[in-house]
Amino acid sequence: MKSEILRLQNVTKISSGITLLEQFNLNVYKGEIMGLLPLNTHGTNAFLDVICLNSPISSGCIYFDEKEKNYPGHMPESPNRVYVIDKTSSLAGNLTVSDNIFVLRKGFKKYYINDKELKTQTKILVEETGINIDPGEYVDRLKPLQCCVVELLKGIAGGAKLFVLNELASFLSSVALNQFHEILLHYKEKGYSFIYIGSHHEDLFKICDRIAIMKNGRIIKVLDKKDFLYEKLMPYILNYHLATPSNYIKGKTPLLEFDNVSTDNLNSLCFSILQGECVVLLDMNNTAIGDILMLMSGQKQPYSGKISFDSRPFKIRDGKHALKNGIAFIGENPTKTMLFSQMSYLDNLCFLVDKRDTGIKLTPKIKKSIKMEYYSFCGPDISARDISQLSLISLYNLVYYRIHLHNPKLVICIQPFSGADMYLRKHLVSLIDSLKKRGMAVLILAVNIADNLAVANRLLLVQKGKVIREYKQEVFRSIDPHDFLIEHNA
Amino acid sequence: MRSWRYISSRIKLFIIFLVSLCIIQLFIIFISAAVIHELYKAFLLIGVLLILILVVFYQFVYKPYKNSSHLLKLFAQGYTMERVYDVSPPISPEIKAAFERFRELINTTELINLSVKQSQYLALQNQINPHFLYNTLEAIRGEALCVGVTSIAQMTEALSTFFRYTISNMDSLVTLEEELENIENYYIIQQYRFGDRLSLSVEIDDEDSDWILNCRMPKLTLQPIVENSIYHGLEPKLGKGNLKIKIESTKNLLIITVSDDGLGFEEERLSILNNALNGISMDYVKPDREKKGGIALINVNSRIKLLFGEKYGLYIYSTPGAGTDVQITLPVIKDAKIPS
Repeated sequence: MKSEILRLQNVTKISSGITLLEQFNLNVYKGEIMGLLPLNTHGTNAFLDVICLNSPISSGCIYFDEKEKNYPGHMPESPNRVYVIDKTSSLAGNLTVSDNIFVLRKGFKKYYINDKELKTQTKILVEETGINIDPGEYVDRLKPLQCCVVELLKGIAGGAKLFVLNELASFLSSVALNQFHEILLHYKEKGYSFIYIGSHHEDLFKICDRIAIMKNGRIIKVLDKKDFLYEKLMPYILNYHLATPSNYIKGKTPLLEFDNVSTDNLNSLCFSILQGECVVLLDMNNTAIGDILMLMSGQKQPYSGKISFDSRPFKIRDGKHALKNGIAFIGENPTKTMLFSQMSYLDNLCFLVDKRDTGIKLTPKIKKSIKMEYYSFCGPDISARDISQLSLISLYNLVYYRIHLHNPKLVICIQPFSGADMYLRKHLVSLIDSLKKRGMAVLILAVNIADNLAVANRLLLVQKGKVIREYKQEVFRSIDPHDFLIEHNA
Repeated sequence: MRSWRYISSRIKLFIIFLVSLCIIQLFIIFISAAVIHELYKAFLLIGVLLILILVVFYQFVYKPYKNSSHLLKLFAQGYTMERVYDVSPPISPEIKAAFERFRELINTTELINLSVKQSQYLALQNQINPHFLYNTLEAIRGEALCVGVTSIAQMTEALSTFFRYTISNMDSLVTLEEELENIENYYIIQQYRFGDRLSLSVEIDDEDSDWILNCRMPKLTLQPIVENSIYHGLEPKLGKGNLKIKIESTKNLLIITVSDDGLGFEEERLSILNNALNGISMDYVKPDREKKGGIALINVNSRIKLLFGEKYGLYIYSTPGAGTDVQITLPVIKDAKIPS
């Protein structure tokens, strides 16, 4: 007989006049992995608040472990036994694995800590997962997969019954994700429940028992496992996946070429990229990306092999000079790391424009001219003085059109689709396309394949620092990109 | 100024006045304590006492009042019916007594009877609906001409069993198995109209199927929903339509989902329907023919809520062009007697 761990019944949550959750209905059974596919980000944080902390709700009712825990006008006694695992780790980096699992938990009252005993207990827990983790290792030194496992064990040791796994694919490599899935299945068998939140249905199809589709703070459909087919999902999602990536490739001489490049994490890496081409480098182990970035920003030199850029040996002193050399970077979550909130939209847009080419001075006249030119791309937002009031899509416009204005030869994007909802991802595809159209080569460094095929002209699979397979655009054309993703994921 | 009509507004103003007075007093006390050093301890004591009074007032008067006010607001909006009687602490003994009287006056049994009568009326209306009869008899005639005798017998049997089930004793709860048999009969009848265009499947957890099939529910809970799915979702749709009844159960809950891959509802209409389903409504009793599409669902929902409580009932998921899922949440009941 099934039993429910969580039930949200007609839950409406209104905060500051904004309806964050509207008649939200969801139930999760014990020993179930319930997928949650948010089509937009509206309400996802409120959902987490409500199920973890029992934050006040405007109407409806919440049951946890088949007990009524939250309803309007009720002051909840305690948070629910829910543990959230997401990109921002809740582990203390300068403490050991065993300290994190057993000492940093609610209800731990021992005055004297027996380190040996803790390590023995940790070892028993860790062995169950099949992942090699030293109980005495500092968390700072762990790999993302090991961190996730430690978080899971910490939750189990702390008595959590339900785990929320938030966008795992944005920080775990494909290999690590598959390993973590095995662990989840093991704990699912033991009766633990999971809510697996992911923006990409391909990830959810692999592991979940059911998937709830969420839009504007309400569940619009719950799919059963046997309905995990793209056709069934199509009416609910945007079908930009099916678009063939635009082709703006110019010339045959590679703009950037890695020739047998080796570093700590690269093993004779060979690849090249042409002008106007978009290449996705999918790092299966999430180790090569860091080294490629360090090489391209001059923070590291290869042990062997050579890198050529624009038909010359690639030499760069540090990241500051990258733009002068025709290379621009777009980091992960660029709206948080690449924009200055105290500067106006136009100032942000023109940032470093005068550093791109010596001799250009950013006079008011030039700024006015830029404003006129980019009005057609950015719209009236270009006149905004306070960018903190702008929508996320507008902020992404600002980031990408700044690069568009700089017009570098090569743009390196790190996980551009990470954490973005479906509507934003569709918009990002068009923004990356506009860079390609201008003749820039785009190198996407990713740990997850999803969505990148919509812009890629080539896909390179990198395992243990080496390109193990290359897929050309013709492959995407001949088979449906969605089928390709399923095939690859399998 | 219209809010002056309410005593609560007058009390609020009076309290604001008192609190402001306290704050001014506090301010004067602290200034005085700073100037008159000899008496600063006494002043501070008075100040602390005043703060304590404010905290106690907030905790024991203001907060419970806000909670009660919120519950009454939810009641007025139709979100809750039962919790309004549990306002704790009650505002006054008289108001508590008035609510108790109010509870007695709203005789739930009356509402249930009204709801049952309405469902019977709707069912009967279907039986005498010439369109329904015409279609069914036309199908029988067509079948008789083309195929022969056996199918006529089968169809007539299905029709009579369906009519008998619909109008028989409504005073007790029926098993899920009986409800599904009625759906099977209804499906046989509809198949003569739709042919291969309509398919029905029922999914039950294999492990607990016997236990689940013996769970009880109000009669005619499923049929109006299936009928709604066929007429509003699948009939206007071009091509084949699939209907699925999925049954899940925990030890306390029976969850039945009736899904179709028909036309679906527009978001606005869906929102209106779900809002109506969220509360207990007697609107469907009004003879408004235009609203007929949702009447059956609201009727079933109200019957469930009146019989078993607010936390049970219907919820609709729907997307235009994709289909509609109606989820029915019921308590697990094994006794045939209708709860009073």
